[in-house]
Amino acid sequence: MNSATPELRELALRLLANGGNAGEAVSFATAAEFCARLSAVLSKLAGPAGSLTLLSRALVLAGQKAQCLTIVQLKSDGQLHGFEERTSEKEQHEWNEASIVLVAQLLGLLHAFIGQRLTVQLVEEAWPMPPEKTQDDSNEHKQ
Amino acid sequence: MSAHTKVVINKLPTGVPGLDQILGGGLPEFSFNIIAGTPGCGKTTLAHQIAFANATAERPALYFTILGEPALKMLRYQQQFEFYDEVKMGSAIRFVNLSEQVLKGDWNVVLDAIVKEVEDTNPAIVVVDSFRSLARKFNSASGEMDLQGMVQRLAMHLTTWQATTFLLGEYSDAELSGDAVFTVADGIITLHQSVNRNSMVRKLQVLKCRGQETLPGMHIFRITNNGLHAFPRMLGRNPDQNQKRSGKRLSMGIAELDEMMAGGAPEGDSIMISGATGTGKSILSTHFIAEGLRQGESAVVAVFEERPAEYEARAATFGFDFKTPQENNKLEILYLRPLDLTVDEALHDIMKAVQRTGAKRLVIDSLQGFERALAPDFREEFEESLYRMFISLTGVGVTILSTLMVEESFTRAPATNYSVSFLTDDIIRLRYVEIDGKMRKILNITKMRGGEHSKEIRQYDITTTGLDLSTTSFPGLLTGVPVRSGGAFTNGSS
Repeated sequence: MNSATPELRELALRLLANGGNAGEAVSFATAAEFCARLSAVLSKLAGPAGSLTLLSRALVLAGQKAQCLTIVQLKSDGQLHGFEERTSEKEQHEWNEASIVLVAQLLGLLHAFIGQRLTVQLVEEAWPMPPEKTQDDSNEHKQ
Repeated sequence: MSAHTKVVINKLPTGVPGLDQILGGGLPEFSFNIIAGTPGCGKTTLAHQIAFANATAERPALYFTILGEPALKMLRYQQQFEFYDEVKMGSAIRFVNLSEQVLKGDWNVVLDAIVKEVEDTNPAIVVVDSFRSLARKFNSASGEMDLQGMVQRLAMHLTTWQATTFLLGEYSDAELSGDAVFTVADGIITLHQSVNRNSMVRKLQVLKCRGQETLPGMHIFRITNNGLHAFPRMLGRNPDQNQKRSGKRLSMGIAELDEMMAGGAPEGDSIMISGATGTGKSILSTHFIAEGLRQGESAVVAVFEERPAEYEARAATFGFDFKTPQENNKLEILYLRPLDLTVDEALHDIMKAVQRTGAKRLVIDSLQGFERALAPDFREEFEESLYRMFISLTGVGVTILSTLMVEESFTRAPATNYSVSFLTDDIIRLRYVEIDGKMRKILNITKMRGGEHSKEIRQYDITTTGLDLSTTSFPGLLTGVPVRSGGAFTNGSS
C-alpha cells in the first residue's frame, strides 16, 4: 500500500533539500529530523501515541520501497535510530532515496487522515517550507 | 433594579438547523454544558457543528480529545460533513490531545493543560471529548466528591475565561440523575437512538438549560452529509400563529359542493375527505388545488402513494395544468421519503414549502400513506402528531385538505379510521351505494365546524373533467331504501 503520490514525493524532496545545507545532497539525518519535528507537532493533535503510530506505519511502508530502512528503529521519543552515514556513492544514493520515500509516506498518511490543508499547516509549523515551485523551475528541471 | 439593568445572556447559534429553536433561541454564551448519549448517537458531530458555527481566528474553538476516538480518525470522518470548513482548521478550530496528561493519573495535570491552552488561545468554544472517560478515570481514583470539586474548578475557570464549554460523555439515561457533573452543568443535551423492528430513530432532548425556556420533550434529528438536523416538535406552536380567521370561504372547485358547504370551506380549516378506494378522493383534492391556482393562490400537495410526476399527469387527464404553476413556483408537489419518516420531518418539509410558495392551500394525499411512511415508533402517536401538525399549519392560515381511505361494506361505513373529531373542522364523506342495480357514488357533508351545511346526500360521477355532482338526490339512501326525488338540487341545510 503506497500513500506517497509523485506530488508528495516531489514535496518531500523539496522539504528535505530546504531543511539541509544548501548544495548538499539529501541526507537521512535530515529526514529523521523532519520526522521527529513533525511527530512532535502532530502529538498535540493526535497525542504522542497517535503520532508515534503514524510514524511507525510510514517507516514500514517506506521500508517496502527502500530496503535499507529495515535496520532503522523508531524510539518512543519519536527519534529514528540505527542508520549510519554511508560513504560509498551507491549507499549514499540508497539512503537519499530512502529519505525521500519515508517523508513522502508520512505526508501521504497525514494527507489521507486529516486532508491536505491541515497536513500543510502541521508541516509549516514543524519545518521551513520550501518556496513554491515556479514555471521557470519546472523548465529548468526538464532541461 | 430596573429591568433594563439585567444581564443579557447572548445566545450562540448551534449550527444545527432546528436546534436553536428547541433551545429557546440558541446556546447561552459562557454556559457549561454536557452533551450525553450512547456511542454512535452523534455527540462528536454535534460538538463539531457547534465549533464550526462559532469559531473564528480571534475567538477559536479548542477541541480537547482524551482517550476516546483517536483524533486522526475522528478528523478523517468529520471531514466528510459539509459543515467541515478546512479553512478554519488550525486557526479557528484547534485540536489538542490530552491523552498523555490523562495517563499520568493526576487531575491537576489535566486541568493545568486545559487552563494553559485556554489562556493561550482565548477560545469562544471549548469541547472536551470524551469527558466521561476522564471522569471515570479520576472518579475511581479520587472519589465522587473530588470529581465534583474538579468539575466545579473546570467550570469556574472556563466560564471566567468567557468560554462556552461542552463536555461530551457516553452516559445512559440511568446515569443522568446520579452523576456529580450534571449538578454543575448549566445545560444538558441528551442524544438517543431507538430501534423499533428494523427502523432506527434518533431523538434529542434538552434536559436542562439554565436561564431560558426550551421546547420540552424529545425531538427528532437526523444525521446527513450536512451533519445533524433537528426537527422540533411544534406542539402546535408557530411564530406566526394566532392569525385571526379571515372568515373567507374557499371554493372547492365544484360549484355544487360549494353550495352544499354554504359557500365553500372556511379559510384556515382542516378538511377531511374520507371514502373507499376509487371514490375520487384524490380527484376532489385536485379540484381544490386547481381552483386555488385559478384564483391566483399558491398551493402545496404532499403525496405519499405516488410520485409528483404521476400526480401531475393524473391531474392533466382531468384538464388541470399543474406543470406551469410548478414552473412558476406557485405549486409544489412534495414526495416525502416513504421510509422511517417522522411527523416532525414531514411538518418541517411542508412548512418550508408553504413558506417558499406562500401557499394558502395544502393537500395531504393520503393520511394512510403518511402513516405507512412513518417509522413504527411514530405510528403509535400518529393522531397526536397529526393534531400538532394541523394546528401548526392552520394556525398560519393554511387550509388543509386530507384524504383518508376507509374500508366499508354495504352494512358498515365508518366515516374515518381515526378519532377525527378533534383533528378536522370539516368532513366530506364519499361512498358507494347500489341504485337501480348499479354501483353509484354518493357524497355528503358529515361535519362543518364553521356552521350550517347541506345535510343532503348527493350522487356524483367521475368524468373526464373530474367530479360531476348529479342533480339527482335519493332520500333514504342510508336506510337501504332509496327513493328517487329527481329535480334540481335544493339546499338541504334546513
